Amino acid sequence: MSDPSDESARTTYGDSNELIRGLQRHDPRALEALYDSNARRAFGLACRVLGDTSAAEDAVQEAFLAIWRNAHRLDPARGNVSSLLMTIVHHKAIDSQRARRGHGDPLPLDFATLADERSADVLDAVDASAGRELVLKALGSLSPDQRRAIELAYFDGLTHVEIAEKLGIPLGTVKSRLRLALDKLRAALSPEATRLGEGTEST
Amino acid sequence: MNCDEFEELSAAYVMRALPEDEAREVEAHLASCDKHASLAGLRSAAAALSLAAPEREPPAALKRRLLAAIREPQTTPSVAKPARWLRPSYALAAALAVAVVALLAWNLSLQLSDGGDDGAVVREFVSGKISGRLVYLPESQEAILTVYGLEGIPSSKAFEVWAITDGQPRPIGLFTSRPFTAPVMQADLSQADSVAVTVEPALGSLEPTSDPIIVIEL
Repeated sequence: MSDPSDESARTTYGDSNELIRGLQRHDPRALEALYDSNARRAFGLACRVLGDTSAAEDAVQEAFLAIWRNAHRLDPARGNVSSLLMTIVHHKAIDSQRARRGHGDPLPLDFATLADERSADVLDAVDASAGRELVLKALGSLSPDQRRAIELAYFDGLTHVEIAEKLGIPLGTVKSRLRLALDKLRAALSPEATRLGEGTEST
Repeated sequence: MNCDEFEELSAAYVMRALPEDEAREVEAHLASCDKHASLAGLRSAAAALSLAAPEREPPAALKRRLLAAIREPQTTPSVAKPARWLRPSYALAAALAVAVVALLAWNLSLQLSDGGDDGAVVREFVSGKISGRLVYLPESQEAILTVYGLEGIPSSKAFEVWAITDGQPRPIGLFTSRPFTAPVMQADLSQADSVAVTVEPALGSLEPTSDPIIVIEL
């Protein structure tokens, strides 16, 4: 069986609704199209969390397979699957990182809840490079302490207890830094904020 | 955990910065409280963080492996599993310990009733607090399982139903609702020796990852 070219897979599945329907029909070209659009970001995230590229490859593969196996739980009306895919990549990467550090059995992934929570967000509305700029700008608006807390939690996979120990600060301080930081991020990335931002820049 | 405590931990939770025991408590709270719709927004913000990592080109072999993996037919459970799986063990999640220990004493009392006008196979079971009934309709190959007395499980988990033939388990259904009636399951149970229920991750497993909490002999 010959594989279609990358180009034709993307052409067939440009629209996110169609892509999800393709995944639900178990059309490999749909998964291929999803991979072509998201693999670089997925692998980049996994490498950042894990450092080790072969472990990163495993995390990425498992994430795409999770989407493939659970495509029936995806509602095409809820926007594209990029966010969900990245959440799963992150989940798998953290699992791997924790296992490496000798933590116990990780909490399993609740695909159904994540799939149901899906809603249009900044990752859907903008292309990858514009999205990256927006996120880096939003991170730039955090205080250095908040930025550091986010980095240690999300990218280095530390628990809030480990962050408190590492920084020599109370656990309560870490909890509130993470809360405030993520709240600020959410506000900065909200559709209203990003639309307003674009409006101002264009005048 | 109350709602205030949940709100304190929600940011760390969506970024997976909670130790496993705290994460479990958060999920248990979420399973029983629907006042936290704002979690979706936090989850979205956390997913956006994925964009902050620099992109990297994965090796071409990764794509090939992925596309090859999806073309493989679903593998049947490995031979190794049944031997471990059928041996009673006591390494079980605390949440189910009360319900399960009674079962593991193999204190099942079964009432068998076969036949009836439509050829339905009915198996009732009782063990400690857990009781229920399995009804199998051979003509339409439909099975309906009703269970009472199971402890609640977090939203990250589900009860998976298996048909066991010659020691090999085959998944036939998945349920989470209370009072734990599995939706009608389409399965050919004519060759099955028993039906079992285990607790699995919410998306289900291809083979059991834990010991059964219910076993119904057919």
